[in-house]
Amino acid sequence: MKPPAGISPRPPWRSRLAWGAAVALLALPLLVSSPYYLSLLVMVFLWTTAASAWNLLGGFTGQLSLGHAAYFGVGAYAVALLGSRFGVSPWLGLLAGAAAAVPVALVIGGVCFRLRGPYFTLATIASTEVLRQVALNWRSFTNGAVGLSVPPLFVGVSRAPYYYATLALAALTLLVSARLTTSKTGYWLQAIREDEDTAQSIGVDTARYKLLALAISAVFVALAGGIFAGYLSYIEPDIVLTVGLSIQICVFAIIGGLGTVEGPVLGAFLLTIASELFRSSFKQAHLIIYGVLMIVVMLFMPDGLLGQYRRWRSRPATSPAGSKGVRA
Amino acid sequence: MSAAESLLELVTLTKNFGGLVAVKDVSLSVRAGEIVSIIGPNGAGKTTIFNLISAFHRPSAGDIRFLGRSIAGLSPHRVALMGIGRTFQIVKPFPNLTVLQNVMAGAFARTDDIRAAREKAFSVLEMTGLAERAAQPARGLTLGGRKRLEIARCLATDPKVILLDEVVAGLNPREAEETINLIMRLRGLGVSAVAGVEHVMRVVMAISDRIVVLNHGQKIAEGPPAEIARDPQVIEAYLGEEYHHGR
Amino acid sequence: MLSFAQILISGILTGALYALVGIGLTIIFGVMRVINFAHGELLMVGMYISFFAATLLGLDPYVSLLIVAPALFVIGVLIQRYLINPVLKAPEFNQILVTLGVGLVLTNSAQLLFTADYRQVRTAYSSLTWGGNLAISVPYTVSFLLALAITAALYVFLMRTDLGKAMRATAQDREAARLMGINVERVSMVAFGIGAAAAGAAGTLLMPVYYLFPAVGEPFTLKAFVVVVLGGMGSVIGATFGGLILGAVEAIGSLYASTGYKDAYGFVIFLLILILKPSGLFGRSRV
Ligand SMILES: Nc1ncnc2c1ncn2[C@@H]1O[C@H](COP(=O)(O)OP(=O)(O)OP(=O)(O)O)[C@@H](O)[C@H]1O
Ligand SMILES: [Mg+2]
Repeated sequence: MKPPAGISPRPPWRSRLAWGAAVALLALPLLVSSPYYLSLLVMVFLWTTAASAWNLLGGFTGQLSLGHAAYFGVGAYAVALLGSRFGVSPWLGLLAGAAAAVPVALVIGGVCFRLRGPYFTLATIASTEVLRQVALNWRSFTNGAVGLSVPPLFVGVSRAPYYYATLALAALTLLVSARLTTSKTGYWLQAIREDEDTAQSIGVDTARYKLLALAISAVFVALAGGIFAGYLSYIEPDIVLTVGLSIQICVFAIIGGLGTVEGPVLGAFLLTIASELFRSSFKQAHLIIYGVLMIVVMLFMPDGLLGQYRRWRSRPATSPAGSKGVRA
Repeated sequence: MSAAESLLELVTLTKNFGGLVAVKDVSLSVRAGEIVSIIGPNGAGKTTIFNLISAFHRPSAGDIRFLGRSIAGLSPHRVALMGIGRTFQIVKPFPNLTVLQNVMAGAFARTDDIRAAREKAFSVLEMTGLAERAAQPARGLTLGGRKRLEIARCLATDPKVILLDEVVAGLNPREAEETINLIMRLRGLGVSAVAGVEHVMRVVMAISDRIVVLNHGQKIAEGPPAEIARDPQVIEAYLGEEYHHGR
Repeated sequence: MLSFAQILISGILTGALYALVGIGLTIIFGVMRVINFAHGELLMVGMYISFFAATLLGLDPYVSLLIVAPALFVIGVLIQRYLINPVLKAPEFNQILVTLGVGLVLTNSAQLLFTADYRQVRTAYSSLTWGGNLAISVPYTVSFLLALAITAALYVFLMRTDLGKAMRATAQDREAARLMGINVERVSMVAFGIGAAAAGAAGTLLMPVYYLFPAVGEPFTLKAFVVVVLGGMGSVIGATFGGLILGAVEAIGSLYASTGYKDAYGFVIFLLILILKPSGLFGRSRV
């Protein structure tokens, strides 16, 4: 019994392309020294990480969380609080944030996963909002709306270390995401997205798997939040704990292509660059564009750019001759 | 029949929805490899019985025993992993996954290894006649195809008993025939089947080892097909003209 | 004790406005089973219209209701017709994202057009009070009464008029309503229009007592959800009580605990209700 074409391993040109891209990305800071472009790419990598991590829960598991700012905030505040209150190294803070994201995710998930559909989404918004209120009001500890200064992860003015750190984090997230698509866990998460009852009928412990997806997702988002805090060297609740941030994270994934490994990368890259281009001309424009894109994508291409591209490519395949081997 | 040799046993099973009694005092025993059909008109309680066995509903009273052990109160995924598979009356394939991926998702109930899951899935697809559709998204299948896929996905979990809710409803005669053949083959695999059917057909009578007739949630008759066909109470309550004049 | 009574009264007065926002949301949900994540933003649009009517035309905020409500009705109808209707049969996931997108566009367009500045309309009666020592705000009281009047009018509309009955029938069973000859597409547009107008009206009623900025709507979307969840999705009466309860809880909470957490109380209740009694405090009744 041979697997039919289409399920066979990826063609060699794709892995060659991936290696080429990897080398180019690694060499880039040696060629480009402009801090402007490097910072831009740092943001691209951070958003890639957050969006891919969100995509594990939102895209693969089908749970539309608009509360991922909570984990971003936990990561950011762990670095900031441990650093400024207890003098802990930001690297330890980063790990502590990632570790803390797990219990936070389990509590939030334990509450929100009892609900389905829009109720779930609302509950995720509300839980982030509760965290934001705590960060705003527990002034003696969090400094409230004034915010905290954050110890940098790297000394010196060069952006290159942040570039490599965020690149590594993004790569790791993508690796986990890619591994997942070819594993039992990935199949079962997608089964949950497709139909929870059916998933249970084949033995999926849906509650457990949803929590698992959320926890993995939360860890990576917290790491992104922690690096972001160190990179910005200052945080406040209205930067790292807002619904707007949660929306932004999910928009990247949706525009790129939900439930695909590459989609969030594409979305984060295109939107970060695009919003940067517009930011210089008028400040609020990028959020308007996110909004418009969300509507347009949902109305006209719910599978995102990548899904649309694949659909467009596979169209000739409907010809009776079949185009399975045409890909050369 | 003694409890020891029975695979699945319902003991005075009852389910109320508010004031409505959907299933009342139903007892039933299924042996390994046996094919039992539950027949009954619309609303008789067939789906409810399946939902009770597969733990999607909690019994209001009574017990469900599987391999001699009570399974009432377990969660659906535990029951599934114990070896009770089911299909849904309103078919629920994973629409955006391919046919192969649908079945692999089932196969992962028994293995963590993707290659093993793929192999298992292909052998089930072969058996259910879906192999050439493996790479196609499930949403593109016909109703007949989707029903077959439900069975395939369920079989991939290696069930000891499979609950088939209206597997032939809505199928054209050829598709129905194929599905019936598939059910017949289950016996050879040692898999028991409990099939719920609304409309009685000669074929169903032919393949079933035993038929249980349900009316208003209560069991009104049980026995081998030939006996059921002759049972005056059954004929009056349910079969009537349909069996004699129908298909 | 005086301050308790005072706080409770002001909470309940605010609660009527929450109720009105919630009713808009619940009507839209009832008829279309769509949760409008842009609801607070519609309130914000209503506030801006009212603000400019006051500053440019010199209209009293209460008078500007006559402009705001029809304007928001039209906006609501257009949103339904062109953005919501196409996704009515799509998964909830897509519907949520479309309404979220609408909200993002509205808030940030407002910020682009009108800057992030806080604005306020001061009227001659802004700081008047009545009730002697209780010192109850006059504009809050007027807004409360108007909100109750609008709520009552909406209720009568739903119960008595043909269109209202058609909306209720659609809410109960869309397909059956269609078979009965009800033009459910038109009913849906009207429902969205009315829902938007209710949000806009609530915004207008807030204008004399509140301040305005582009993101003012965001907490109101969540508050509207709290109200509706408290009252049971799809129930107008439930939403009315839900609003009053939320107003009272926020007020009492800020008296006994901390004002800073005022917004958080609502969300905590919201989470508790969703978990403990998802059908709302007042059962399952639909629009
Ligand atoms: N979740 C539920 N809540 C309330 N009542 C239910 C529920 N599920 C089933 N019922 C009721 O229980 C009774 C039995 O329904 P059931 O679906 O088990 O019948 P069935 O034999 O499968 O019929 P059909 O031929 O329509 O599939 C019906 O009256 C039905 O309305
Ligand atoms: Mg049934």
